[in-house]
Formats: sequence, structure tokens, C-alpha cells
Amino acid sequence: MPEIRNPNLQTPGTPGGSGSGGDMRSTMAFFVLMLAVLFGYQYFFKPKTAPTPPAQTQSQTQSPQADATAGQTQWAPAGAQASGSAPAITATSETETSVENELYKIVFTNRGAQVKSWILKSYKDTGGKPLDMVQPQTAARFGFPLSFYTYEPALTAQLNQVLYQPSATGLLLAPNSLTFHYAANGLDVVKTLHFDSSYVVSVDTEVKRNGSPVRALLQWPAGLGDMEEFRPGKAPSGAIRTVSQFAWNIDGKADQVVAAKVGGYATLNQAYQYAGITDLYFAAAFLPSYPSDASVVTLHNSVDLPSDLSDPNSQKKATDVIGLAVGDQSGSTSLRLYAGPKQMDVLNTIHANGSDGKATGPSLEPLIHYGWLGIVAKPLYIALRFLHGLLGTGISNWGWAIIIFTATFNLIMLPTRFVMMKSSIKMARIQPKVDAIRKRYAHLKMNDPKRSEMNTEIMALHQAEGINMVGGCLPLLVQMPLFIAYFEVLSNVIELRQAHWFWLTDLSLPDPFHVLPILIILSMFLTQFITPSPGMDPAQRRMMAFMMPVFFGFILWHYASGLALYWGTSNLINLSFQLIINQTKDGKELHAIAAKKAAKKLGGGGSNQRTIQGRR
Amino acid sequence: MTRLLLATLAFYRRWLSPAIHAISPGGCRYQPTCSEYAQIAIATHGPVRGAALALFRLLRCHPFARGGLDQVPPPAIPRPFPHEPLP
Repeated sequence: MPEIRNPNLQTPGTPGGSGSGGDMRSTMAFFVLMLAVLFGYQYFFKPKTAPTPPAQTQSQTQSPQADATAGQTQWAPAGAQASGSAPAITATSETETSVENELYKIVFTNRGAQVKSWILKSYKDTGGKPLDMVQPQTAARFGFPLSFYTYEPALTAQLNQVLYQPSATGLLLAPNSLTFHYAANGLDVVKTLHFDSSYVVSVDTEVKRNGSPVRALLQWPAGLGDMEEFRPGKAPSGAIRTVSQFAWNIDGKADQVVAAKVGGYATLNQAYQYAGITDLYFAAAFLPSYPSDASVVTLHNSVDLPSDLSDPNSQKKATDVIGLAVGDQSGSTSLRLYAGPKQMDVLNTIHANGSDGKATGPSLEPLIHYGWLGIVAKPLYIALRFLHGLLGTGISNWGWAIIIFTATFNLIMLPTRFVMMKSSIKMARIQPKVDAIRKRYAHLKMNDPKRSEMNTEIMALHQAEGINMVGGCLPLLVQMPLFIAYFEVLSNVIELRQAHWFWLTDLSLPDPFHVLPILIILSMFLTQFITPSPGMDPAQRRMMAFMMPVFFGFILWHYASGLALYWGTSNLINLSFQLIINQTKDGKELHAIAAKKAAKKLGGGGSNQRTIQGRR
Repeated sequence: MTRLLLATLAFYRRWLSPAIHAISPGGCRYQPTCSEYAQIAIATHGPVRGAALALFRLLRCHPFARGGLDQVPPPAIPRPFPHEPLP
């Protein structure tokens, strides 16, 4: 019989060949695999907040104040003694300059020539206000974006506190450029910014002291405005908050590390094509103009935040806040800064500079993460995005994209489902025979060699009846990753942030009116109710019929409503399919078998326990 | 350890396996099923070798495998002495 032949089957009588060597090898392979799984787990399910070395934190949290005072004493006379040899270029009062385009509105102050607020017009924060990329709490303590970072704390403090002379004040409309200039007391500092219609701002700086250049880096010192760590209220799902990350690309290889593992004040002189900090949905990334000369300093601070942010009196815990300073090893810095959403379309158009100084390097796209099942999640996202685009601008809606994708997917899976159904009908027919065989061997222990005879006998029976389980666990293997992939897409992709669908205000947050979870519990229960499965005994069956819907309902109650939308759609389709199958001849036969079996199991007398098997 | 593993497998076969098959219908391409294979393998070969056998059995279940009868290999008969040099 050729069907029985299995190329993978180890022939039972080979004691010599696979002796201790094979044993060792398989054991080792197993351990390596286990280790890989373990490390993978730790890597992807980021530890919430690894304790930072206290000494480091201490020095960092104190440094800004220390710097400030030091800077004051050492350089304070600078403004007053402006009547030196060279004519001083400085401002007499603090002024603001706003730069605006379709996408952002950036407010600069001439005090330190830095960014006070960076509003992204297309996005709103969790409170419904326009989203500010500058996190006010941490910026006040650790510094504002596009301020200077030097290796001399006193100089840093001075550069970030003196009043620069702006080339313009008030409101500028992009495309435009803006220059801040400060020259006094031997220092000559120029910071030039160019704005266009994209999210990218290019910055050139030159810092000279007594005529010689000083290495000054530009920094994004402390986190982003929409950091999950600072989101008020409890985490939406009781789930993991996505912590900030340091992400970079060296020679086309993208990588990232979570905030807690970022070293503080470490200078990295490598060919960074970009280096940025990201939170769940947004990123601020520096793209050096000359990657080969790039110099990156990682900034790692920590702040004490209440563990429940809606309650300021709750217990405080240390939270990591990371930042970056990026510049050029030569001293004068030339780079571009991307501050915006981690959206695929946008990031794909922004390329880092190659070694030739032109924008031919890799795009910023790797800043988007799709979680640990990215292999499935990313194609799923692309498919959803395609459908979303296909729907046109009129009804363009991610909710519909999810529904259409799910429906299509289920229709594609229909034939396998049907084949499965057929073979399970055959299985049901021979179930009594299989039970009989199992009963004969039931008294044997698990390690009794005679047990293999039982399997041979069952197999022979399958052969005789022509049962071929070619599908195997395929439907399941497809469905579970898809579920997880949906989960990842919904919780990582910015387009689904605050995407609405009828009563759902945000597909990445739980259903506010609990409609979908209830619908899912009902439809799942109903599907279980009308699906015959003669292989199980009634107790098992009852357990399944109640536990599964409750289990899934519970999960979907607390997680993204888009996930519930997917599961609900898929459920309703399966339910209707099952209803149709139940009307066919095979379906009716299966019900009859199942009902008979259930009745037999419970016995004749006193069955106040009603089965949920085989009714329609 | 062996007993712990066997108990886990028994629990799986009793409660979790039906749940999985409730989500998506279908059967197994191999006889015995993977969980039964694991039970037998652990009972006959011990937890380490048995688990490894079960793991490789799981890896053998993929859409391009034909399935069919796939028994747990019987334990190797312990040789009384190592190989003797041939005359």
C-alpha cells in the first residue's frame, strides 16, 4: 500500500545508527530552540522598566540645574560686556517665530534658538487636542528639541539660554528658511533651518569659539509628546504600553532598542544613516547629511511618574525618558530632522543620505514595527491599506477594509472548510468502530509497545474507509497567526489610531458600547450550538460551547475593537455557512449520528442534563 | 517530570484540543495524533528524548507532508557492551 509509506517515518528497527550521538544532537537542538524562544520572548515583550543604575540617573537629573548655574556664573557677563572687540549679535528680548505648513506648526523661541512646540496638524492627542511632538514635562526639565549639545556642560547651558537674533519673527509660511545668529564674547553661533512642504526640516549649524569650531550636536533631548508612558489614565486595555525606542540605521541595517536599555551619554561614532527616537505612533529621526561622519549621543534620563497617571497621588515609579543628540564629527552640523507620524506612505518617501551626500540611502520605513509576528502583520497591513485605497475617498474607512478583507479571506478558505466537513462526516461514520478499537487497548499503559498495534489498526480502518486528512491543522495554522497579526496591526499602525467605524470611535481601542463583544459571544455560542461534533462527549461539549465564547468575548472586550470587528465578521460568515451545511444531506446525517451518540452516552433514565448536541 | 508532562498532555487532550477543533474543524494527518504521539514518546523515552521526538513530530506536520501512520520509534535495546572490534 503506497499510502502508508511515509518518507519521514523512522523505521523502527535501527538501534545502532541513532545511538547516543543522535540523542545528544536532538537534545541540543531542542535546547537551542528553547533558548531562542526564550530570548525572542524577552526581546519582543519588552520589560516594562528595567531599573537604571541609580548613580547615572542621579547625575543626569541633577545636571541641568548644575549646568545652568555654572553657565550663569561663567558666561553671564557676556551680554553686558557686548562692547568687546567684535560687534555683538544678540537679541534684547525673547521673541517667538512660528513656521507653518500643511502638516505642522513649529514654534521657535530665540532663547537658545530651540523649539517650544511642534504641533502636527493632522493628529490629535488622546485628549482630542492637536498633537504636540514636544513633551512639555520632560522638555522643561531636560531641554527642548533642536537645542545644542556639547561636551562642555557650561557651554551647552549658555548656548541654550542666550538670546539669538532671529532672521524673522511672527509667522512664517513654508517653504521658507530661518536663521538664528548669536555672536558675543568670543562665541559665534549660527543655526539655519530650512522648511518645505514635508515633515522634514533641515538644519545647519556652526559653533565657533575664538574662531575655531566647537563640536556641537543638535539634540532631541527628552521623549515625544505622545509617549505612551505619559498617556493619562490607565492603559486602554490593561495591556502593554509600548515604550519609547531608540531606532537607527547603519549601512542599510535597521535596528532598535527599548528605552530602558539605551545607554546614557554614550557617544557613538558610526555611519548612522538615521538615528531617531520613536514611540508607538510617532518618531523624531535625525538624518545626517554625511552619514560617514555622523556622531550620535544617546541621552537617557528618568522621571518619576505616578503609576496611575490619572491619580497624581498614586505611587511614583521611575520612567525612562530617552533622547538623542546628533551631529557631525567635524564640528559644524548638517542634518535633516523628521518629526512626524510613523506612517508607511510618508516614511517611504523620506530617504536617508547615502555616502555621496545625496538622499539615496534607505527610507525611514523600518521605524514602523509590526510586533513579533511582523511577517504576517505587514502583508496584512498592506492588504488592508490596498482595500482602504480601493474603497475611494467617499467611504474610505478602515472598518470596511477589515470587513471586506475578512469576508474575502473566509471565502478563500471555504473549500478547505468544506473538505474538512466532508472528512469529519466520514470520521463520524466510523467513530463507533474507532471507539471499539480504542476500548480493546484501553487497559494498556502509555509505554506499552502494543499500543502501536492500536494505531496501526485505526490507520487501517481509515484506509479502508478512504479517509484522508490532507488538510491537517492548516486552517488552524492560518487562522491563529492571522488573529495575532490583526492584533499587531491594530495596535501598531498609525492609520488605525483614532479610525472610526459607525459607533466605534477608535478601532485601536475597545468598543465603547460593548456591542461587538456581546455579538461575538452570541454568534460563537450559536455556531457551537449548531455544529455537530460527534467525537466529543457531552461534558466536553458543554464546556466548549460555553467556555470558548466567554473566553474570546473576554479577550475581545478588552482589546482593540478592530480585532472584535474581524472576529465578529468571521464568526457571522462561519455561522451562515454552518447553517447552509446543516441543510445538506451530509450535514443532516452528521447531526443524526451526533444526536444518537449523545443520547447513548447520557443513558436512558433521568437525563435532566440536556445535551446541546445535534439540535438545530 | 515525566508525570508532569503527561498530565499536561492529558489536560490538553481533554480540554484544549476540542477547543481548537471547535474554532477550525479538521483532523490530524498523522496517526497517532501529535499529542498522543507525545504521550507515548515521553512515556517510553523519558521527558528529554520524548519531548524532542514530539517536537520533531510537530515539525513534521506541515502542508507538504502526506501524513499517515507515524509511530513512536521503540526504545533502542541497550547493548550489554560497546562495539567489539571485528576480527
